[in-house]
Amino acid sequence: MAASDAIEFDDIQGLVVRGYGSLPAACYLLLQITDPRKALPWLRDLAGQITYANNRPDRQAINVAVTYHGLASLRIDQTILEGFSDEFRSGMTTPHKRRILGDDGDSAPEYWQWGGPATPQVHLLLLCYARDDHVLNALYNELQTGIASHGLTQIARLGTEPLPDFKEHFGFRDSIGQPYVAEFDRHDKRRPQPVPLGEILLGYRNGYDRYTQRPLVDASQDPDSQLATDPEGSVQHDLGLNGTYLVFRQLAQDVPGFWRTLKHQAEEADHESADAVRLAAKLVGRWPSGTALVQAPDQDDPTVSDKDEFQYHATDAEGLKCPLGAHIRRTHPRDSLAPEPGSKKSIAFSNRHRLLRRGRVYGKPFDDSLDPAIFLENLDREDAPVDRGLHFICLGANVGRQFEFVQHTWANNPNFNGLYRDPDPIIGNRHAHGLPQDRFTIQRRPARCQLQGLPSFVQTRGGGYFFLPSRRALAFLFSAPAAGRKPRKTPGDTS
Amino acid sequence: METVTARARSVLEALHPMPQNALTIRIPVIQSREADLRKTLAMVDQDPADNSLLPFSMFNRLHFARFLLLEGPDSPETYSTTLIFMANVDGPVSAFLETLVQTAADGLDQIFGTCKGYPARSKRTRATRLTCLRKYQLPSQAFYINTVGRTADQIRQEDELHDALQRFLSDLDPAGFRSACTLRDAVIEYVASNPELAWAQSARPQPTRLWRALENIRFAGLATLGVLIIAWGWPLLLAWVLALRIREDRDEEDTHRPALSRLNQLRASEDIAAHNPFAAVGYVKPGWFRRTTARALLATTQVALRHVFNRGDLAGIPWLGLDGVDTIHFARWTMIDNDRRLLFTSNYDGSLESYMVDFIDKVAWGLNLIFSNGVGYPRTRWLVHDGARKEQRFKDYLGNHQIENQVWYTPYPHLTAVNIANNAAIRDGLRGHLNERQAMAWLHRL
Repeated sequence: MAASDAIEFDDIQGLVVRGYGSLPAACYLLLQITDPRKALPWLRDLAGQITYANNRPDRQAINVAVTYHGLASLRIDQTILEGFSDEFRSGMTTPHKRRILGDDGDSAPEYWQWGGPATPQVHLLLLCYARDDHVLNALYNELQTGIASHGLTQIARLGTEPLPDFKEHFGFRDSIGQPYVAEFDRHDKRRPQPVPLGEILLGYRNGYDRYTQRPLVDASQDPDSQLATDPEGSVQHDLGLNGTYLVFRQLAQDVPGFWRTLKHQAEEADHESADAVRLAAKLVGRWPSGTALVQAPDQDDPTVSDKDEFQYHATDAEGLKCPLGAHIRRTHPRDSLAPEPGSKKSIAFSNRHRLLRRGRVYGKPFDDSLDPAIFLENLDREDAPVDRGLHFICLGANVGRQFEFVQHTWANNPNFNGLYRDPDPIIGNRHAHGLPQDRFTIQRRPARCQLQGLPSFVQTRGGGYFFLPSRRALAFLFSAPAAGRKPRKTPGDTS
Repeated sequence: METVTARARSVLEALHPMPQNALTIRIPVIQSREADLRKTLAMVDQDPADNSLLPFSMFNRLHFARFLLLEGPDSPETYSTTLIFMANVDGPVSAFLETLVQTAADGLDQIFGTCKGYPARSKRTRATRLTCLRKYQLPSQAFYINTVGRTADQIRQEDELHDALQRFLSDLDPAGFRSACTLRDAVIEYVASNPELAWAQSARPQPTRLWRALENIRFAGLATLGVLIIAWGWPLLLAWVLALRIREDRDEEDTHRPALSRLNQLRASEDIAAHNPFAAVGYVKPGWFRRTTARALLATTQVALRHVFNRGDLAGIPWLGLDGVDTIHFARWTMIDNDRRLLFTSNYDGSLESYMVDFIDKVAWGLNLIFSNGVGYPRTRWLVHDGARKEQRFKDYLGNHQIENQVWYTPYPHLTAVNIANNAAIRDGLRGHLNERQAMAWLHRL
């Protein structure tokens, strides 16, 4: 067991170290605090039910995250709020964020089901997991009773749908490439060049061997010393320590549209021997089984046991196996980018832009088999579009350098890695720099072949930036009015 | 004295001109006209390429251009806001200014008419306008050109070539070709048969042998001078470095974070093209010691930029294990206000986040050398260590010093520096003999 003893696992919310794979039923509750006075006692109760990383639950688990507006509605002092990261404080829907995240057209926040300007402001996110639907429903009912009577409004309950073999809706195995954090290693996997703990959690040294910006609190604002002292050595108390940021994006997937396009492109243009699944694998960078193209360039080989054990530079610098613009090669470039592709430096660079993914799938599958070959047999089986997709959730200490960077500099960027008009074929925005960006280049000998006019297959339907506090931070944030909290407004006070 | 050296310099530059040059004009704004000026600039910025006042796309020798409004060094106590116009141009700056005055007099009048020193309405002629713009011109102490000699026309043409070849390849079944050489032959034949691409068959104009010889002599001379300074002056240099080291620990580091509203205001105009303009201004640490250090480092930087880092890679020194940056099109460092402040501007690919990441990851040492002479810069050790490597401090420092561009023009908004270099290599590969492996590598560029 390499998991470090120096880390207080009972202070870290469980989602940081595990995705609760043994609890397949899950739902996410989005809440608004309407009366903080009533809400606080209930939230303190809730804090007592939170699942921490020292615990491996086999029945149910609850984790809780809070938005910037949520903290403001709890009347946390402005000086404390200003210690949070710029991204967290700005939110996901400023004009600039829309541009870099690609949330325009159908994906514009105006059309979002939650988290946008047209829907109620989200304050809290409860992440509920259970071993089956029965337990989940009981948990939900219990929570809902409390919510209704304690100055909280439920904005939405987002359901999830466990699909077999960790598949996502297009039919590919997902969640394979995860950052390896040595301190969390429960199986003694030991990979070279682990991701520094400070990339994932606040209050530890990050990929630059520094502490990431985080909220610190004057001792006078924390008179009961609910928080630990700043590990960086200042006299302040650390509200960020053992907490992290949580990025939530509800991404709808157009499964028949995706396969129809691929079938058409494969057959009409005779790409990849007219085989839509082969062509789709080129877009993704993996076969449906999850085996990477670099590991098995010619055909799917489900027997490859470690689907995360590969690099690009030595075996595929030119992209002849896995195209340079493929989804997994740009969202996690491993050793393929400057500085010095193929070197430890390149991997260290990549490690400063990792996402710890904790999302779940929602909506009924296009076919229970989740087999693309069966999808392709009858792409017209649905009379009306079905709402399905991914509740994308990722954790990281620096939203700007991690999630936003990956989304903008790598996924949406049509000029990624020397390409010209090639956004990420799966999630990339199809319009940028005043031009349509809808090509996908498959490097080949003697010359590339290129897909053109790729429509988008994924739409953003909701999202937000959250803070996932530590146990101590939850106690501090939910404690009764104290120095860290603005005095309650008195009647007649209009400021 | 200064005018004599300036004149000597301009004579030398006329005799041995650089193919790309930096124009900077800085002119004081009339306080009561600032609001009008802002309105006018906002209008130009609506459509920098084709607006009615100053349609930048009409200048085919122009790369990037921008207008900045810079508050005075003693603001807010004393109002001395200046309007700054910057352009990166092919050929001499004087020729560009003449074209500007000839073709856009009305626009210039509306913009610069709000500034002190611009000729009065009744006295506006081509000559007086030109005299004024020249009078307010500023030199830059260091100027980075991604690839010396690459003109805006060439970039546009080679982009068209790239597009045409992409269309040609897409209409073709590459599988029908047995070898890379035969496919390359087909591409060459296509270019030859297409009158619109005929230009691509000939090599682009190269600098004359004389020009290159003079560059080499210049570099050799300056390098020798450098060696001599080190050989004779090393005790002084060593003492200088030790004195700097002592000051480094004493200098105050700026620890305050920029206001979020300020950052969001700056971000609002970013990321609309494949590249972005950056502008930042800061005070040089007071005293002759830091000013002299800054001047000397900028002069050294200028030699390195002109003679070493002139082919697409900034600050990469492989034998020292230092990685360069290939995402910067142009950059310049301009000392202003009698060396009290340093203005840095650049045109870079990608978002500011990725630009800062490049700075921190790859060229922190180079930034530290120059910017550690700025007030509040994250503390360095031995001039090159720490500094920008302190990620958050550095990002906050930039946020505190970045300023807004009122107008920014890019003639090729969809191209990165890497794309531009690749397009040039594609054109080069149309000529001469390539073996099968070389032909394959060439086709990989498409």
